Amino acid sequence: MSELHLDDTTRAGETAAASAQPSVAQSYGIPLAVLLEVTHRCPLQCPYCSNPLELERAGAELTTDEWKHVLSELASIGVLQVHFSGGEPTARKDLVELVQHATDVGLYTNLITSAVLLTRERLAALADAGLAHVQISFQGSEPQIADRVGGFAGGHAKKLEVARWTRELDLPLTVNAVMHRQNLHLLPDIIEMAVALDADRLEVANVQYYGWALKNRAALMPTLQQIEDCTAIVEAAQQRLKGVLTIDYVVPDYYALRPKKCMGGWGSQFFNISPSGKVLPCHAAETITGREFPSVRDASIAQIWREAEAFNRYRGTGWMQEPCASCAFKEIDFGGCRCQAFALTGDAAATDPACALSPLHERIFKTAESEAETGSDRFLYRNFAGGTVEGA
Amino acid sequence: MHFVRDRTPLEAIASSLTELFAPNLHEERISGMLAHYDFVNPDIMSYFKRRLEQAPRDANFALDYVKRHATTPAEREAVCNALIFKTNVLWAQLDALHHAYVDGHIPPGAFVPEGR
Repeated sequence: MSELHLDDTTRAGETAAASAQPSVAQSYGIPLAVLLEVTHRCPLQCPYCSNPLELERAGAELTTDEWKHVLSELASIGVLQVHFSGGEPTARKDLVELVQHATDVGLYTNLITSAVLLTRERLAALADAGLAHVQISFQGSEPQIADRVGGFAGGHAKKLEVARWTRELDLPLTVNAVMHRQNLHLLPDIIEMAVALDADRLEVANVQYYGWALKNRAALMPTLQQIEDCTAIVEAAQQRLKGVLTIDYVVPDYYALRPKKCMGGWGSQFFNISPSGKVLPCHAAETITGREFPSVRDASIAQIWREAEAFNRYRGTGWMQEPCASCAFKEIDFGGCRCQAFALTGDAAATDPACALSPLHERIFKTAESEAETGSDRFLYRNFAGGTVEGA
Repeated sequence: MHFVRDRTPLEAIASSLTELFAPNLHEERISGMLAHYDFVNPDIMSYFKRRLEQAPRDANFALDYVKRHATTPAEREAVCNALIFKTNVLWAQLDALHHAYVDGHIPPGAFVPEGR
């Protein structure tokens, strides 16, 4: 790799030199917010976990000093906000220290947590350290289903308790609800639960199928009718709860006509850092096999963002094949999701089959329909042992 | 006005980001003014009613603009500082109004309510 050039004059010179294909990294700058997956350890075993199938063990995690260095570097290159995520970020004993450091270097901090490991004292310590926002995941609105999905007895009740502490400590709260065939019927109750917990925001996120979720697709895939009902419920609630609760909605794109603008375009607005320090264009990027992802241990984050092959590979539109290459929407959705394209076609540069223009679209639509009708409800739980079949 | 005139367009636009917090405030302001001032009637409120629509539109434009144009650490810091500056201006205005009309120290030349 060439040496770092960060000042504006050098950057302008480089842009002129590389004018054949201007780097999207330079036109967007470093992302405003970065997702830090500080550990893959987690007491929950959700079958749709967004972590990779090959989880990184505790021994491989960045040390406290390494994470602090990462936080300082992020602030110095213009990042404004960090999400502490995982795995379960509170499984890190040094989380308060890391949040304090993020605050000290001027970063806005969000905690994305399952909540089940938190005590009130620890949450208060995080608030004192400058934590600015808490996002708690819920697997349902009642313990029977929620605790089964999370594979953790007593989890739902604990989440409710932590959500109340969050508001008592005057921290803004987002409720995150990952939705699938086995809990979509609870959506109206989940919306009411978010209101009752005094959340500002609710994420209704239908499962996206990579990694663990792809392995569990037959147990999770909703029916088309469920999705239509879900959309209607969300839209009505968005109207009814204006000014009370903001609802963000992620649809399952197997049933969509247009693919999602995944990550706002590969390498243009987002990166995340894995427990061992790998810098990834999206948290599922490692599902694309045969790609190397550089680590914060090897190079500066700014250099990785601008120069790493893993980021430049699918930046912009130059990498596209047909039907994307000549498509009028190519800069609207950037051909959809690279990880999904790889998972379903074996080629990460193919059109995401979620797009109606993909030759595979019809087939995945039918797959979704048939798995929703006939798939077994039995989960493969996420864990370090490569997964455990429910009830086995 | 000096700030907008003298600073970069990026900072000028960033200073309008207080509009992000305005929609709810405008609604409260309209109902509050109608309730508390007998010289205020719904016709007079047309400016604020228009702002209910305009403020979110302006705020979304400004937020999108600064996100797209502030790409260096220095530019992002300038955006944040412009917003902080604007909130300080609004804070100072509220302090001045409180001092004049709540504490009763109306400065020379300022509006004097009837009966004072």
